Amino acid sequence: MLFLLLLGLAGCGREDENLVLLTPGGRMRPAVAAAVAEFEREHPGVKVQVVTTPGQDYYVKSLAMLAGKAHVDVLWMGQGFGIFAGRGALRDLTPFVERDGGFDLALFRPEVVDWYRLGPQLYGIPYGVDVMTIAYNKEIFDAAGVAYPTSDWNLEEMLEIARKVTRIDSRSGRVKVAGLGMESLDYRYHGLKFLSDDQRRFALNTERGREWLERNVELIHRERILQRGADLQSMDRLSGFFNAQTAMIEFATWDLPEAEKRALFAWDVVAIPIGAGGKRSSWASSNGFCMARDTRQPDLAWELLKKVTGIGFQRSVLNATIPTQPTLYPEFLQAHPHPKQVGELLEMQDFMQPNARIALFQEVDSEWIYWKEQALLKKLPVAEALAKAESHINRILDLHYEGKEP
Amino acid sequence: MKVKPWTTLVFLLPNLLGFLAFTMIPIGASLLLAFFAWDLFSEPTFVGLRNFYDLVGFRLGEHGGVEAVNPRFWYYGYNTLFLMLGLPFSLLGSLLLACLLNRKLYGRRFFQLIFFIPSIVSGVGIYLLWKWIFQPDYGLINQLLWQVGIVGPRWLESSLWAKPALMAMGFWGSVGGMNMLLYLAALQNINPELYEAAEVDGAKGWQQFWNITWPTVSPTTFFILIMGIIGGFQGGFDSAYVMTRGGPAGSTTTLSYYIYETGFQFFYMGRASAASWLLFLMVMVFTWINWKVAGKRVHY
Repeated sequence: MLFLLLLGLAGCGREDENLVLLTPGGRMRPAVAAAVAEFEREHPGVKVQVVTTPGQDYYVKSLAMLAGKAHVDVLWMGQGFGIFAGRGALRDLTPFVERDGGFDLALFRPEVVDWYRLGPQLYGIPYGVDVMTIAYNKEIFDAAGVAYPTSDWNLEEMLEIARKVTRIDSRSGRVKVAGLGMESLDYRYHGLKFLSDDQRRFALNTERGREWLERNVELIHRERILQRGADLQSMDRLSGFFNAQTAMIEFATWDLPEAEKRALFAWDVVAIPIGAGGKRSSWASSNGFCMARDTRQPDLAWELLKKVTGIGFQRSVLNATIPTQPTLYPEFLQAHPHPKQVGELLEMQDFMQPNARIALFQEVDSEWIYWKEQALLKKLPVAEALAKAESHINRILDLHYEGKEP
Repeated sequence: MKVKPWTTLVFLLPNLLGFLAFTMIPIGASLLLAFFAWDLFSEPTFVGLRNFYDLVGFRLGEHGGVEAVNPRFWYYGYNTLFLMLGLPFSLLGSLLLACLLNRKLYGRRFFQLIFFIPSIVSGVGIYLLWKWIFQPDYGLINQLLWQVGIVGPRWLESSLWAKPALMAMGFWGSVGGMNMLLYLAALQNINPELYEAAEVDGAKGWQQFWNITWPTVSPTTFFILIMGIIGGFQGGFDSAYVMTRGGPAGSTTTLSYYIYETGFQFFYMGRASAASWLLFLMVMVFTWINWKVAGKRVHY
């Protein structure tokens, strides 16, 4: 009896007229709520259920939902794009873009749109770009008598400045102020790539790769000018900077609101230094929305997707990400009176090198982090750690490309 | 009154169905899955023993010599065993605490409650609390050490200190918990006449403990040891998940965290199932050894 009653109740929902939107929440939450409210007003009778999964679990939960055929229509997507698209979890948006006369993809920054392509298919529309810069504490620079960096600085100059501003307590030997507060000096600064261009081979086990990793070990252990973050995955990584324990940190677009609120000293940002070979290169990511492959209402989902990536939505999240429509750049600059050089963030868009877009990026990245840490923590010699990383990462890639693993 | 077999079966059926649906069938499915490659999206592919080989196999290295196919799995196994080294300390600590609280001391009910609190507080809350206690720059421990002129280690950021830090936290959480209550119950079941007779014979405190208390509570010790080893093999997931994400350099990743990572981050469901079965085998072997070795020393 109870079973029949439950069965009846389950059938009462008008699920076909509902859409499910997955987001990681955070600062975009009010903007999403406003966009959803507007969408519901424009589409009477349609309800949008927003499912929020904060933090790192967003990709895991979203992928598990899609794998389990849960009702998902539209989902937020950042650098985890390859993990989803590579598994066929997303729907190609090309037919929607071609059919929709009111939608102009040319308004979006093209290289960022390309990050949502896999082969000829377009799987997502980006609304924001995240780039890295270097933020520096002007007061520490002033105390050390060091001039503020300018955007034409190079890697060696950055390290030289870091040496000058680092202060070590002579009594305890403790680093009181570290020149650099970052997880490690990014391989991109040395003009290196993590995977080969065809994304089938680990590319860091080279002479220059060894030099880069050895240099990191030197900076951390011998020179002690590079202080690694307390918790690389959270806002804690900014704590050292806000507490004036690190003079320079890698600073992402999404750090802007937090820094504007918490930094009690004069600070500014500057472009990532010019690296080896006179080239500048830095990690970057994007924010966008994709459509689930198995959405039951693709046309409605497309309308919702346009709403959460359009110019109105981009305007409402200017506080934490660079809009993908360049017409909004003046408004982005206006929204950030501090730091003074916020324009450097926009400039960094010319030097973006995002993560590889492969289905097994998480596993490859996890393997790499493991071996890199073995070297950085001096548990293994650099050459051995790189050789091990190469051997294990190549095996993961081989198994995947040979079709022995999905 | 004679009960008809059908009546028995009807009464047992709801439980049996639940057990089949939520325990037996998933266990059977995971055993089957251990021989397949499956990422939840594509069709499962039969791979024979390759998932097991990928976890515990060996191969010729690209640069000569034999190397483990997955050295991380072995390292995480080592981490799991290392973290279990805290078990004897927590066991002895619980017994000591139970002995103290078994005495007719003023306020012992209060202290029983205080010591039991870590067991009823949410685990995540405790992990976050300890994360702050271990914070290298402002954390309680390093601040106290700094007061006496010692520069404390960077606890959870150090591959050397992260495991001992987690062990210390585990000790704090388990010493006054259920184990203490079990010991307290065992101590209260000891016949006081045994102690009186020992006193008449001139036995002192330590001799009484060693010859009366320790043997009498040995079934409890054995039970705690067995459960502790089983729990130790399965443990480490929640603290790694909340406090360290398995780092630094995998130094706090245990087998259970690795299974989660393999299954739900990398979506290698077959390999995660194989790892689960290997973990089950380890638990079974260690429990059997424990039973054979320690079981003989138990006084029932």
